[in-house]
Amino acid sequence: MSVDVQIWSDIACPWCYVGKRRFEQAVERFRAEGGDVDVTYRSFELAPDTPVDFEGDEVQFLADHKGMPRDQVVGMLAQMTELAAGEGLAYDFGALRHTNTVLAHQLLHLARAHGLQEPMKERLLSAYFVEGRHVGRVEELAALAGEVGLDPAEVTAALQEDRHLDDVRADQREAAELGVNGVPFFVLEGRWGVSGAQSPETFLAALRQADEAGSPA
Amino acid sequence: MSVRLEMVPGDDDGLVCEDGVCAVPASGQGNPQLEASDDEGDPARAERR
Repeated sequence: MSVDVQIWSDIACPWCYVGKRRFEQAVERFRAEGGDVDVTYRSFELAPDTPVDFEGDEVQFLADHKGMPRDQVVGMLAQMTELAAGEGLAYDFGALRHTNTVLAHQLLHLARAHGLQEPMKERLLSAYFVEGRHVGRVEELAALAGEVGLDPAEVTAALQEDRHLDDVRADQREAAELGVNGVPFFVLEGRWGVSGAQSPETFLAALRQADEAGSPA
Repeated sequence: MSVRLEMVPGDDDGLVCEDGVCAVPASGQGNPQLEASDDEGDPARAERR
């Protein structure tokens, strides 16, 4: 049996990328045991009021929009950078282009329809946190989509017409119904929830639990 | 839909982002703290920590 895993997350979410890496480690071990998983990334906007072309860096965003002291923000980002490095992720908050992520979420829905959601998710997270790419504009998203095998022309049309906006909103409604108010959030077999970028061991235990519960006696 | 999830117990360093702000581990400890001033006094969040 393949364990169904729905992962609510955002692009502009440092722990979502860390959680993705840790979950992937668990999946690798789970598959080595003979198990399998079917992963779907679901939409969750942490800061939907963020403008597409936010003027300023991440420190300014958190300081101005969340009311956090700048020194506290700087320290927090340094800790995030260090922790991400431990997972092999080279975060560059100095280069990060803070933006609205609703179009990126629409792109992930389009990518899923083409069987390319996972590589698209990885591409978006790396572009945002590591490469300082802008992930809020149609043309830049189309270019990134082209890198993972999607048709940039199709992506451009779909995003310009908001073809997957209803899918994004449906994900957000379901998250609210489940009581999800923070990400990353993992739902296994529609029954078990795991909140946060937990350790690979925690994810592996959850996968085993879901697998055993779903296996015939 | 009214699904009630069974939450899987996590580690002390479970890292999560809420309302645009992300928890970070306290220095030298595995216990995460939400570094946002507007979260103080929220019993639901305090309980999750």
